Amino acid sequence: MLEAGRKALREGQYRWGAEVMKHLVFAEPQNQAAKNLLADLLEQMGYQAENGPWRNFYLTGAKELRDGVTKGAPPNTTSPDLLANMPMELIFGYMGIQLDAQKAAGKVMTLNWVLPDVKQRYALFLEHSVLNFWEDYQAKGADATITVDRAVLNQILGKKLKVEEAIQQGKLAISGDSGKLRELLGMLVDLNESFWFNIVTP
Amino acid sequence: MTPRTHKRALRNWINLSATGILSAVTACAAQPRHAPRSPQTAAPDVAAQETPVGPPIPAESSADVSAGTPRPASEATRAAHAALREVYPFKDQQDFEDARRGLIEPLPNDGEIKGAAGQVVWSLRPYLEYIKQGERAPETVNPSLWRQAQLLMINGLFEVVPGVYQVRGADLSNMTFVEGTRGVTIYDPLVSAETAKAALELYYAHRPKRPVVAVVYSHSHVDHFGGVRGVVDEADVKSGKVKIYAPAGFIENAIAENVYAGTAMGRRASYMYGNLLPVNAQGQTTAGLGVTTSSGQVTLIAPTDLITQAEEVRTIDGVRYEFLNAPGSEAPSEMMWYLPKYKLINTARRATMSARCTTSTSATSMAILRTSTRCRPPISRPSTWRRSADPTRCWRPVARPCAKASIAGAPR
Repeated sequence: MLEAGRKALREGQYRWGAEVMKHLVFAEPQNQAAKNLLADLLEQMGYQAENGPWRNFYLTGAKELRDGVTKGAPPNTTSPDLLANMPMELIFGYMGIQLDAQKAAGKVMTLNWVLPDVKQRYALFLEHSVLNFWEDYQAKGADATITVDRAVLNQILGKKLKVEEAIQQGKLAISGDSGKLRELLGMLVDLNESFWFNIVTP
Repeated sequence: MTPRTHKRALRNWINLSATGILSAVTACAAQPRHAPRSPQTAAPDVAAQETPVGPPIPAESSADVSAGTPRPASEATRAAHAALREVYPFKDQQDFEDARRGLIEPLPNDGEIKGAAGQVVWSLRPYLEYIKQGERAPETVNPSLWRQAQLLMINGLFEVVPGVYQVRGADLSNMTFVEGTRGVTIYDPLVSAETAKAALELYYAHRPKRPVVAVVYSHSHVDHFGGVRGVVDEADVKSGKVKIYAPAGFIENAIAENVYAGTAMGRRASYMYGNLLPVNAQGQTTAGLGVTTSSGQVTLIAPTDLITQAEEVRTIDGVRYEFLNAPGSEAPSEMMWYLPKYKLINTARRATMSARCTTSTSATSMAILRTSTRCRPPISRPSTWRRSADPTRCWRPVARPCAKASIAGAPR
């Protein structure tokens, strides 16, 4: 297969060569000769690309093949404005995306949320490893009720305030089973920890 | 929990640029330098310089040893570029004339803009150092992309028509100023507060320092709202002194798109904008649609006025606006507008000058409107623009004879 890739490179058949070599790269992840050859093929396609993003895709791919993925610190910037403008529906929805289904397996939980400053109430349900919420509703027999101003929640979500600190300062109250909130948070995955996933390598 | 991750994700999308690794999406790294430059000098006839630069590289020499380092352009690549030179009218310098038209002043200090901590959040310098006006494309860069990059290097404050001004090259997108009866209206305040503020300062250096009375977000992408706090104070928005206009569904889409898929989108952006690459002829040659993205503070102030109808007429600071919603086009929430007073159409990202170098899904857009600030009447509905299936969101053509139209808007 390497020979087929080299032949394609010699003949300027870069697209075909890349098609062949990508299979070898994925079949033999340790084969650096294969990766270097695929990088050379992608690079010429990058040089030929009229489209700026395409050029950047090809050349960044070549770099990944040659040097691997340089895993920098996961991006950790904050934009308080975006957070403050994020409706609770989006926040709960995103928690559902972050939920680790295996950690949540078999867990059943109901949390009532009360946000006095914006006059909003929600009930959040965990069951079958799925999070659901109802707006303007409080579940009877919930495991816990969390009362917190949206403004304070924004600070917590923006990592400017810890849950424990908010409780100590009287800005967040949990009635019922106070361990449930922490348990739920423990099931959420920080997706950006996986930010630097491989793209053109297995 | 949810929030920080999503914020980050958005930042990533925006910020992963040249500095690369740290911030997710787009930044510019540059060393200070004080050499003056004159990017606006006339471009010689590029097509006239047809002789290849340097000796040809035999195909065999590069073929069999993969060194794991960047290679020169191969014979096949050079042949492809030569073929392109035969097809495209590189002799036509009209776009360069158009791009320079109305220039008042280039960005100071090679466009270098710093954040509060003194960090560089934007700079054209590494680009200006190798993308020179009038120079032939390096063998490792597609000649058409090179031409586009040269156009993108033409930066500064421009007069579109008297009363309408634009700052170009201070971020991925362009920022527009429209002078009305009480003050100035700003379109699309860039990616970050620092660059938007610098753009406003450049405008005030040449135009009366009248207050910003309105902002218009053309669509829900961050390069069209992220710098809003650099140009208006939220207290003035709350008190009603400043109005902010946006298309229906703006907030939901501005945030949702960057949150739910934020991580993957940020990682993708690191590829798309080439932020992990060096800025040189074997690396990043701008992003085509614009130079790259800035890495300052991304802000957002919610709109006060939403444009919700398919067509809607508003008066903003004494100027009549004919809005046209274009949801689900380049962004999920997007609109265009026409200003009869200035005979000016703002197409957001729906039509740009740079389609071929910009977008990988160009079928629905552009390539037809080749004008930026020149008259090309009539501006009618290109057949490739699509209609929405939902009649309430239907795109309808502006069937007006346009004796002298100007197209301002996001990147040329």
